[in-house]
Amino acid sequence: MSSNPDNIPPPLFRSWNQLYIFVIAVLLVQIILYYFITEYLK
Amino acid sequence: MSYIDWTVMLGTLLFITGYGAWKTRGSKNIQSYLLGDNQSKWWVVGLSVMATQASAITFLSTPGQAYEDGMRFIQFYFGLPLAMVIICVVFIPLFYRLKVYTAYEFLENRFDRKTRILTACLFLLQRGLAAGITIYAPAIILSQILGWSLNFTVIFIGVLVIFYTVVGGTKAVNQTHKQQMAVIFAGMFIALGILLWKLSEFATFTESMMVAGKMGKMNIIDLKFDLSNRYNIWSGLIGGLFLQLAYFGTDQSQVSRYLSGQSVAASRTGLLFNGMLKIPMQFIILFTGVLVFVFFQFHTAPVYFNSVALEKTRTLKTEELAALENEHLQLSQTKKTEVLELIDGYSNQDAQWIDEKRHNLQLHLSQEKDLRQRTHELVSSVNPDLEKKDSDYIFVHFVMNFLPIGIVGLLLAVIFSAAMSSTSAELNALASTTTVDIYKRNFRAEASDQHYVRVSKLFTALFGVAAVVFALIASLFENLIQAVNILGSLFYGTILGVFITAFFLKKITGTSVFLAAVITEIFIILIFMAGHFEWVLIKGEVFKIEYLWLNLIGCFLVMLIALLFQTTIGNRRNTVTG
Repeated sequence: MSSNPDNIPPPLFRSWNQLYIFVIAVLLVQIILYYFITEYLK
Repeated sequence: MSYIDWTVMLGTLLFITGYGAWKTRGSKNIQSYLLGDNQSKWWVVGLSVMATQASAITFLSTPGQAYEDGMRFIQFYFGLPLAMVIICVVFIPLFYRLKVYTAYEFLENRFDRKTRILTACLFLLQRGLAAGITIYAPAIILSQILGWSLNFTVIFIGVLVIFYTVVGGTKAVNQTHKQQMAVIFAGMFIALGILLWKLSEFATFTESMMVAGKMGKMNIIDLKFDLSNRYNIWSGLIGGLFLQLAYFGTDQSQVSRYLSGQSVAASRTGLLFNGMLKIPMQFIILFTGVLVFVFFQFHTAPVYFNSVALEKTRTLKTEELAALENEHLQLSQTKKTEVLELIDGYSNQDAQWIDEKRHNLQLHLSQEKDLRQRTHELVSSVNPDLEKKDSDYIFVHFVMNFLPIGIVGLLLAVIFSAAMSSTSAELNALASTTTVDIYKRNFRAEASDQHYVRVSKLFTALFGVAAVVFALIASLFENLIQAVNILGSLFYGTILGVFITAFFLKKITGTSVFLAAVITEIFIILIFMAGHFEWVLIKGEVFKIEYLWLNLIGCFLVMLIALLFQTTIGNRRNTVTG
């Protein structure tokens, strides 16, 4: 659907898949960060 | 409360409501009234989706939950970004291609009319009840804080929301969401900033974090898999994924938010924006609650946070309450000394000392818990209609007693704005589902656009009045935010199961999925009741499945039973025709 002018992903991302991976990566980074905070402050 | 606070609070609320209604008045056709002419940019979609989910309960209940239970509630949201991605890939392209007004329209296209009506009715039932709670929950707390009667507070919120939602429909909901989110973000960051500034008198930021951690409040991640543990990473990632998938993918109050986007790209980007921002936003709200907890290690907290109920108890049970308060004061002073010594130990890097202090503090916390429980029993004996916990009053107690003039008004505007933002989206969705899926489909298929706009306005007003009436007669249980989530989880699994079957099990037909949905819904309600009323004992332990898992179970049961029915019905038909 990326070729549809109504469906162009935001700048910085070449495709929607790239943006989806970015969102999941942000989630993973947060989980890892929170895990270390939990362990460090226990 | 000072005149400045009243002016800030009422000025903010009346401006948002009045401007929203004026700017979006005069929708002439149903496309404009229910889908906002598909004009919303991606960031409006994102803010609107966030505003719909963030109810007043989020700001009243969540910090209190962190105060009592620590940060672990954040795991509930871990499934959300994954759900956003799945909705962008699977749901949005289909909804756009079929040009639907509601999510349930798609189901008639895929299955049949009865399946569409069943899911629409399940939605109307659970969201109709939830709309009452989203008004009632903040009203009960705000009424006590402001000295208003509960009924007046419910009617005040209800009338404002009904007014602009009826006048402007989806456009008004989106328009007001922008300003409501601006107020919410501003209030949230200002409260956090002031809290950190006030704490700096006693401890640095790192020391405050350390105190919270040693007292068990920085328990953000729990890796242990346990079905009866409400919040751990697995219930959040798996159960949470299914709950959020059902909420954002099949709940019309959210579907109508992103269907108002100006393009597929705007809807997708808005949802992904929510996927990235939601967890940090919840982190900040929970962290505010944890910092309030640390703050009350240096200042004496009241023995009970519901001050109105406490004062009533003081007049009727003076001596008993005085004894409890005295005990609490002594305990608070001991705790404060231990906390200051813990900070000393941390500065000197004395691990053994830190460990000893941590042990002592944990002991004091359990003594405090016991003391607060005894106080609760005393307060309940005087106030029979009291909620089970006072944790929903913690944050608002801090706001009213420790924040400066002007900011108190802003924070109260935040709570009212959040109440109105979620309620308006709910009323708008209830009206659009009733108009499109029930009225237009079953009673009046051919009528003018003006007629459907009038009917939609009427349904919006009727659902608004029903929510207000429900809020006027409702009673509470345990914790407000959980009440809404539990209610959702009883129905969402089934609705999501129907949608997932529609998307991925191409051979399943309408009758199979309809029967599967009915059976699953009965089963899910039975599972919940078995746990809630402790009907079943297994090896001496109560059989209980926490509510987040019900979404997953419901979804898979619908798919499984539909497959079984399809095999049986399909085989029988083959035998008859063969």
